Amino acid sequence: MLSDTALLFIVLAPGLAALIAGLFQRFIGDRGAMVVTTATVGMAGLLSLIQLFRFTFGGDHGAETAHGAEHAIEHAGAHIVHLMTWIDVGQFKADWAIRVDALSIVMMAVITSVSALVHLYSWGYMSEDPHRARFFSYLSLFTFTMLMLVSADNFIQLFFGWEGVGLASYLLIGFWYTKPAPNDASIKAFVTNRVGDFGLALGIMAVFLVFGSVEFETVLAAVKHNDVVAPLALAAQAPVRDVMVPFLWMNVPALELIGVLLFIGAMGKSAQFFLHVWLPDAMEGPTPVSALIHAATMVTAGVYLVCLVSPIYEYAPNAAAMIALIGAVTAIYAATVGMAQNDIKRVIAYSTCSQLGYMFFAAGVGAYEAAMFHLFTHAFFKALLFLGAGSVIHGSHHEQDMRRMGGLARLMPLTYAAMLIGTIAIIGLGIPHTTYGFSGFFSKDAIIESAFSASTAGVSFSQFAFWVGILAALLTSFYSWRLIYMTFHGPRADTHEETGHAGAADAHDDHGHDHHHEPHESPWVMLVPLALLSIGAMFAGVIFYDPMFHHGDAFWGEALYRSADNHVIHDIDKMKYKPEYAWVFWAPLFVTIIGFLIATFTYLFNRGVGKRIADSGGPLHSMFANKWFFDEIYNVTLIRGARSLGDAFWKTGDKKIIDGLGPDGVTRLVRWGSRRLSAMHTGYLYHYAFVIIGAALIFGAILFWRIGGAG
Amino acid sequence: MMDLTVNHFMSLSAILFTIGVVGIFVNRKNIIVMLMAIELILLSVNLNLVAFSVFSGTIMGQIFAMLVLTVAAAEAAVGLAILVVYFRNRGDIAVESVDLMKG
Amino acid sequence: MELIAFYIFSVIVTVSAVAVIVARNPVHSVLWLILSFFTAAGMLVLIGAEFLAMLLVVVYVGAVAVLFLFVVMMLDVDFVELKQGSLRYWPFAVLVGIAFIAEITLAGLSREMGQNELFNPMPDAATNAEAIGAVLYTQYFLLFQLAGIILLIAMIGAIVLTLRHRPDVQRQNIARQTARRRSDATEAVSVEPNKGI
Repeated sequence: MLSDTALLFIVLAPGLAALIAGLFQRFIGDRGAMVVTTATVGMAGLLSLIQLFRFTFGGDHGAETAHGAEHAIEHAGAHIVHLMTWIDVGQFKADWAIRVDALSIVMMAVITSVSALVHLYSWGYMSEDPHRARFFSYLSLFTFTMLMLVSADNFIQLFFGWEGVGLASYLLIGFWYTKPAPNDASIKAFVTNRVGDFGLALGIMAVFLVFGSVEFETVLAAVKHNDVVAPLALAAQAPVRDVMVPFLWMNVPALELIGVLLFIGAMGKSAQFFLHVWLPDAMEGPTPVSALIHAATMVTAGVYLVCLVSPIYEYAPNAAAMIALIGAVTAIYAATVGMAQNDIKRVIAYSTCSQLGYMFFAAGVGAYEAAMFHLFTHAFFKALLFLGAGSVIHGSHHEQDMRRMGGLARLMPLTYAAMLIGTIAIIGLGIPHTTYGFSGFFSKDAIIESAFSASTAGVSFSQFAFWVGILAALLTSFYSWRLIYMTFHGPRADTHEETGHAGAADAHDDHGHDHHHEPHESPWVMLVPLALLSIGAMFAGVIFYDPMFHHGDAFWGEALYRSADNHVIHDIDKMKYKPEYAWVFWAPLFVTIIGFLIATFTYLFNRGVGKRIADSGGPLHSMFANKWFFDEIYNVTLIRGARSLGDAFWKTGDKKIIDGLGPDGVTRLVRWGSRRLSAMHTGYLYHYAFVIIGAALIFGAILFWRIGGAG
Repeated sequence: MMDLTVNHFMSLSAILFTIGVVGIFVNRKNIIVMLMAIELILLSVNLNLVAFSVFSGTIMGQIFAMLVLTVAAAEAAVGLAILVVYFRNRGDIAVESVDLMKG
Repeated sequence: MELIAFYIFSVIVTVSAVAVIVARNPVHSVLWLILSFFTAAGMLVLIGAEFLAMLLVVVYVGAVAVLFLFVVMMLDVDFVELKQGSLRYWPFAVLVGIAFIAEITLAGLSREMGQNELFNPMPDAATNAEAIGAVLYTQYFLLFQLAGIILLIAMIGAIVLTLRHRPDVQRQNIARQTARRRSDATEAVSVEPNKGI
């Protein structure tokens, strides 16, 4: 296992690099900032990959390491490196610490390696941006906070990381903040996330309420062993699985409540149905950002959370059902919308959303290993797809609309190859029952098989999830090939003369040569990450299928928990060689091929068909292209509602009532009174004399009433 | 026949005072007469004070009356000086046009 | 005996007070005012405060009333016009007057009838002047001085208000005169024969 120093480096060094790049850009220059951050994150990536491989294949899960027993990760628990005491108030204790178990090792490997490649890639992509140093600083900041998230040993540090990545996402989406669209998008992302964070915060509070602690070790152990807990503010003591807490007007099981609330947080961060609206808009950010944050890492934080607290979901069947349902709905929804998009990045964004849905419904039916495995492989091929798309965009001078692309295969062969590999990976091409296949094949089929197996065991929504998985696989194949055909095949689209520099406008204007230059291949700094990711997309599945999924218990150990009645993954093995279940294993491949054929027919051979369908504007197409009108619905209901509520509070409540009675009102009253009073100063002497006499009269009368009457 | 008591003087003083007050209210146009009415008021007060002093056996009332006298003289002098200056500047003493300090 | 004198005096004083405020000609008003002052002085003599009575005559009549007369005669005002429309002020004024009378009467009635002695001025002091003097320069010395200062201020105020320099009248500036030196006035010139200055 890696030493504590190495762990500290992995987690903390990117943060330091971010600070240096951000604050000292003036001294070290743009180049210096780029070098510092990339080198740091690269080093961290290398270390975490070494850690991953050693953990997977090193065979020393036990105590025999060169560093001694204390550095080994035992199956019984995680290795915690305590950094600093943070909060220690009564029963509430939260410290800065690095917690390393199988789950966090996998996440760290993914985060740092993809981040390192994105850093390298950005050398080329952002080469002409004057604010490069800020960009790299933000990238490293993101890496740091994400690592804090996955290495947290308590909910509070997790929340810190959670919010930190939300901040980094906001900063990066709105990187080109001088334009209105990125600003709006970043705010939309942050606010939507906030809605989810509300749920997460409530969930953490509920955890503390029920368990009296926010540390993972304590909480998860309590759930696993069904300890007796004494929830705060409630009188009863009970085994934790039976505890009921009052919520709004109901009394609900504590674990269900916590499960639902934590999932709401995950919904926000991972753009699941209802809180997904920010993900497509997040494409306003530079493409490396999309690759890193909105494909590989930040959006997977939700999946990480759900898998982390798997003990809770094992004993909260309703919450798990909710996860499965929403995950499945998201998967199919995003796939339908992705089919009708014309912006290359948006297609990939919806694809991400859909794949996240897969991961969630896998977790929802109890197949946490499948979810994590898919997270792992998905990071590689999705980042590959995004970076490839970035290469396309960069090479075609920031054209993002696929309708204006075409025939780029000849002009950008390497990018084409990379995109092909990514596409084959995502559609999951492979031969069932063998170890031949690209990575997506292993992980996606693992999920679909798990869903089926769960349906035989009667897990709620698992059958729905299974069929959704099949259908979504078809659509995934369709839109992925559609993207390839529209971008790389067919005739060259219209020249740039009419479109000019449409689409996203980087600081990248002309490269010194004229506008109508042909699209060209990208520089090597951008191609090397593509190559490395391609290797991952091709082989990560094969390599890690066995450790992570097939014989996952040894790998994951205590990190992912299954209750005694959860045999979802084990049953897959039993079904594998039974003839009546054979169709289950071949169905994904089958629908993938169908999707491929449909796409080929409409986009490669009869190129106009797709366009005609799109232009005919039928109701189905309109529905998909407009994302099922979600933004419009939200606008009319929530946003207008919130707006008018805010307006009411502002104009009426604040201005009329509070200000009216307060400063403005008092001012007006004083003014009015003063004017009335000053009218008494007529300037006429005799008026003054009258007033004097009148006053004398009145005072005399008062005196008389007070003192007189004695005689 | 009644004897002369302090009440006689008090009533007389009250009447003179009232006449003076009425005089102020009536002569709003003529400042000089207004000032004279004020002198009447002061006179009535003086009378009252001295009467009290005599009928109560103390001398303090008369001292007070002397001081009132002093002040009345000073006030008349300054008031008339103001009036003279005012007349110099405006040419008449109609009080109604003296609303320059309005508001 | 004194009562009759009192009634006569009080009638005169009241009538002349009314006349002060209703007279058309302000000179008449002043003269009526002088009469009321005199009568009041008489009343004061009646009750034994003769020093004060003389003081009243000297100060009020001799100074204040004369001052009024000066000002009235100096200001060239059309008094007829001023008297216009004074009739409509009377009701309000009478109302106020009644209010005052009522109040004073109530106040007066409610007071205890103190010593109802007849006028009995200081039996031990010889004259009114002596009685006043005995206290004024000893116990109430401060008040006496303050009264003097008030008069001083009034005098200065009156002068300051009304003083104006006439532009075409030559006045002496003593300070300038005495500050003049020989070098300002004379100049020694040595004259050449046949040359002149």
